[in-house]
Amino acid sequence: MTGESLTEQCLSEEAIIVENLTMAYDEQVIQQDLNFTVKRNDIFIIMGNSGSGKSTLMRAMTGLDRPVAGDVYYSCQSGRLGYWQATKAEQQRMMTQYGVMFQNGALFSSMTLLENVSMRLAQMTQYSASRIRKIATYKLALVGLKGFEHYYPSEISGGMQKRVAIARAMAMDPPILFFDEPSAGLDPISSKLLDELLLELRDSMGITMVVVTHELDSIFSIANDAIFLDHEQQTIIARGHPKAMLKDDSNPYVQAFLRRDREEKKGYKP
Amino acid sequence: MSPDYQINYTHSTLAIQLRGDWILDSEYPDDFDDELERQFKQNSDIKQVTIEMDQVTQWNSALLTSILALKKLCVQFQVSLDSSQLPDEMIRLIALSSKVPKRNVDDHIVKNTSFLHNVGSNVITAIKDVGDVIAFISNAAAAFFRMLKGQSVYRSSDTWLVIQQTGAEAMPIVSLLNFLVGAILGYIGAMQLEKFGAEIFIGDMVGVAMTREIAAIITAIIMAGRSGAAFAAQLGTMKVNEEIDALRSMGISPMEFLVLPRMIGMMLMMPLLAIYANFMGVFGGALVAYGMLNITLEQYLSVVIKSVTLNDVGAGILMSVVFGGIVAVVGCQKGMSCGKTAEAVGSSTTSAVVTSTVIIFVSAAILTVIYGALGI
Repeated sequence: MTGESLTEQCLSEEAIIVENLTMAYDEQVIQQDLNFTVKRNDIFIIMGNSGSGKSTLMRAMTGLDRPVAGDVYYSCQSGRLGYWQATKAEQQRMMTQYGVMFQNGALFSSMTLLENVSMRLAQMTQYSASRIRKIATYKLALVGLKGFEHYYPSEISGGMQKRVAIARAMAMDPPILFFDEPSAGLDPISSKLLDELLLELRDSMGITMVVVTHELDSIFSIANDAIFLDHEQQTIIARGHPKAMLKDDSNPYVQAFLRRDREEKKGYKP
Repeated sequence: MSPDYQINYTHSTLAIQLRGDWILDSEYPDDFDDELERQFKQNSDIKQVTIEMDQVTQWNSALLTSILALKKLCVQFQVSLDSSQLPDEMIRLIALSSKVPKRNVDDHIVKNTSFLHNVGSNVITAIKDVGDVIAFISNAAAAFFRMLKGQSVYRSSDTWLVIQQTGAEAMPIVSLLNFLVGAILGYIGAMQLEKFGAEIFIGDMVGVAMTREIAAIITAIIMAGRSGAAFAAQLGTMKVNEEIDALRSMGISPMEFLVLPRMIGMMLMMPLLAIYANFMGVFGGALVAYGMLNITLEQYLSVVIKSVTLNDVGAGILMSVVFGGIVAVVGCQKGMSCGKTAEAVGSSTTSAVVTSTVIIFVSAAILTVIYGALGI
């Protein structure tokens, strides 16, 4: 080993610790008392049925929506300082620990792909303009978009837009990446290619990934660990590797979900 | 420790030694890539390149871009690169970024930015835009006639909503601006009329100016900025969200379902607002007449009633109907022809306001000349 990459600076086993997190919209509680940890270099899946609060949880973890109670700890950066207790400056520093890929990519339509990926580097670092261009070009190459630097988002397909969104999320070399429904709207082949890309990025860069999804193929092919959110009990009802959840008879509802089995969905109210 | 490098050339081997913390963005040695290129050009008999990273404490994508540049130089000068001393992660990342071959991007249209090309393309776009507006107006007229025959598909509740938004909800701003314009006209008039002892004619001046043209123009400008912009933004956003495509796929004409209620609502409300604006303008003048010239409200109103004819009021109302049509057509047309990006929605909205305003003034000038020629 001749050097240590940015993503390997932290020796703590946990990348993210979520403690007693409760989220609500107005008076309506979405999820309460959520406690879990995300281990470094894991692909951690947040799953559950529609409306169970998966994306809401991700928004609370990424500093977009303040939870009613509880906190999120980015252990490598902040030690025991919770994101929601931190000052603005400390939050800003913690934000460099992660990148977020939104469901539809959320690319800036008025910017080229290169500008989309460069933007955060230009705003947050002191690299020269030529170095930023080189880094952004390299990030686009990493997601298989070499040669598309000067295209606009409207000129490329939905699958390619998602890849650009990943490149943009990785621009600052964050040790953690969040993905909200990365496979949504993609054909099975594009979806599989995206899963393979996530695995390759995790293996080669050591990135910890938190993925909100209910795509079963993706869940089984990429997950190291997962939680299952239930909208009726408003909390986590299963935790562990999805394959272990599938074998766990103590939770027939989660089994039914993972098997897509209508017969076993007793008490299921869609 | 700051990032640092040393390059030695001996026995046809270029030995590169890297040291320090290469994630420090502010101290990144940007001359590293240039120095590598210079060494390759200067030493034409390089046979091998070696890199040592033993003393590198941390690295990130920035260093990777330099290593990728070095790799490219090695390929270009046909020199072997000994990458055995690179970290495994770096080798994997280099492999991943080189995995997909560079796509053929020749089919990507490279924009011609010459002056003549720009002039030509702008003229073509302008001609096309005029054609689009004419097509839009004829489609809107066809939809209107289908509505009169009871054949169109639209929700009357949408029309009532537009009437509320463009009519009742616009009243405060229409009141304020027309009252102020009436007062300003009165103030300027008072200063001039005082010189001739003709103060009483302030009612004549404010009344005729407001009812014939000014109230209609001011109201139309307000509606262009308020409702015309809203039409363009609403329809543009619907286009971005594919809601207009969804209507088409259901066999429903967006022209009937979306445009017609807005046009009807706007063309009904504009003359009513203009009539209301006449009163507000006249009251603005009354305030100045009373405050500056000691003319009572009774005296002022009697002059206004004597001087303002039905022709004046009718001319103003006709003008406001035309303006209503302009604001509605331009706002809806800009929305319907919007692109599919957030930026396009902004451009359409801006364009709707600017185009409406220009056309309103041009048509006001034309109508004034026509009224003059007809002796109205």
